[in-house]
Amino acid sequence: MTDIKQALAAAFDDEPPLTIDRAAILRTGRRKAAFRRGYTAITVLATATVVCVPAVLGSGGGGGDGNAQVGGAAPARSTTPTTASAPPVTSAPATGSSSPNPATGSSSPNSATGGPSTTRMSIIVPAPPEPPTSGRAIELTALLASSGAIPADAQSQRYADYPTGPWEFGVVEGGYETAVDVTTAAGRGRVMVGLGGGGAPKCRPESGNPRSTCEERLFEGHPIVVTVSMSNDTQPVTFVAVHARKADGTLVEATAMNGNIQKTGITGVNLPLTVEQLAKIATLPGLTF
Amino acid sequence: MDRDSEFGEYVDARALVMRRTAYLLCGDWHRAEDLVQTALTKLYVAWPRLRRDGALDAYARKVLVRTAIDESRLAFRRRETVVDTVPDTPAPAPASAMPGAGADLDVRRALAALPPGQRAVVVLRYWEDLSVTETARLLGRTEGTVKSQAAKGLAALRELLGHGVMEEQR
Repeated sequence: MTDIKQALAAAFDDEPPLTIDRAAILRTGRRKAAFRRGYTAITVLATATVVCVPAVLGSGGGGGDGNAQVGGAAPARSTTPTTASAPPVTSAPATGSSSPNPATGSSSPNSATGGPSTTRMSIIVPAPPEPPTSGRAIELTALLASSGAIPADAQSQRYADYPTGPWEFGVVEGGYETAVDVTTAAGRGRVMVGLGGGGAPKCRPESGNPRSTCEERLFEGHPIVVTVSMSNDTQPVTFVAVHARKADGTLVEATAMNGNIQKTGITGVNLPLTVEQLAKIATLPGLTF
Repeated sequence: MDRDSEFGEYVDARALVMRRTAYLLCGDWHRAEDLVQTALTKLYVAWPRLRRDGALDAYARKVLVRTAIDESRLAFRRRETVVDTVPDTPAPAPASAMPGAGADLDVRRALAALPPGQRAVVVLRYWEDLSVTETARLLGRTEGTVKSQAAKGLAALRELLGHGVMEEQR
């Protein structure tokens, strides 16, 4: 070891224990991978539409008509966040909230930092309170099914790459998780629900996607964190995550995106579940380890 | 072995090492873990391609360093804080003027005094043991710039640490 390296190593004298949560990284990674695949699929679809539809219609100056017809399958383009149709959680924002309302797409400076409003969820969380078991996964599946939190009009399909069926929890990397492709009157896309170790969720300044917002709110008395991310595209894919911490330390993450990566499907106009519906799942009593 | 298992093993094997590098880059253990988690999440997304190409460590290092530099350049990451009351004690003197301070504190203060780019060069060259070429490629700079920043960074560290241990032996 060089002298320089030895000098640098002296900086580690107060090194704390590693608290990186592998399961949380995996959950976030899966979510981002799904988001990326959905984004890619939508981009391909949009490109194919732009190229093919006018050709198929074959009418000079018919671009407007072509787009109108495309609108039946893929919505009219808009730079407005698609979560605009999802009503905000009705409760008042939690104290200290400094982020924009994702439902309105508004943006305001982060008063705490004086910088951009872009924030993200902290994913550093302690270990889950109990080791997950397949038996508990079955119980959680039954609990969610009977809770009324799943919209009555939801048409659910198994997510092709996922090991469990629609709305069925499985044991995944030290936690529980389910993923499903859903169509509702509100929209169409992917929904994922995960249970992991539970630190108190909060928004933190982050240098990531500028089209990402985070807001701390109250939902029926429960503190939740709502994060909204959008792809930088004329037809953006929107990803909404609601985090809630339970009394036993469980951190529940309910997420939805308006993309459907199955080969047979296309993205919905809006998210299949509203922020409020996601919050209802995230704060569902009994959805714990 | 499936993707999650492979990735999990990689995290177990590399997280500590990555956090140390991140710490040298940012000077805060909590932020260092944030950086590592960000890097590992990106690594997971690109895992199939990286496994195929055998470029896991290089990619992880690249993401880590670039994220650290980006963060350090953002205004809202500045370390100035607003306080309600003015402290009774004066601001701490430079490390070189504090003979009683611990070596770890000295190094941290000295690193914190370096500009982000210079600091990254020092960490990559002398902690990660990357060559000038590798460092230049990772940071997107010329080799001449890397050599220059490495020299300036070492000179600054020597001055700030106030002793003669910082001699390059490579």
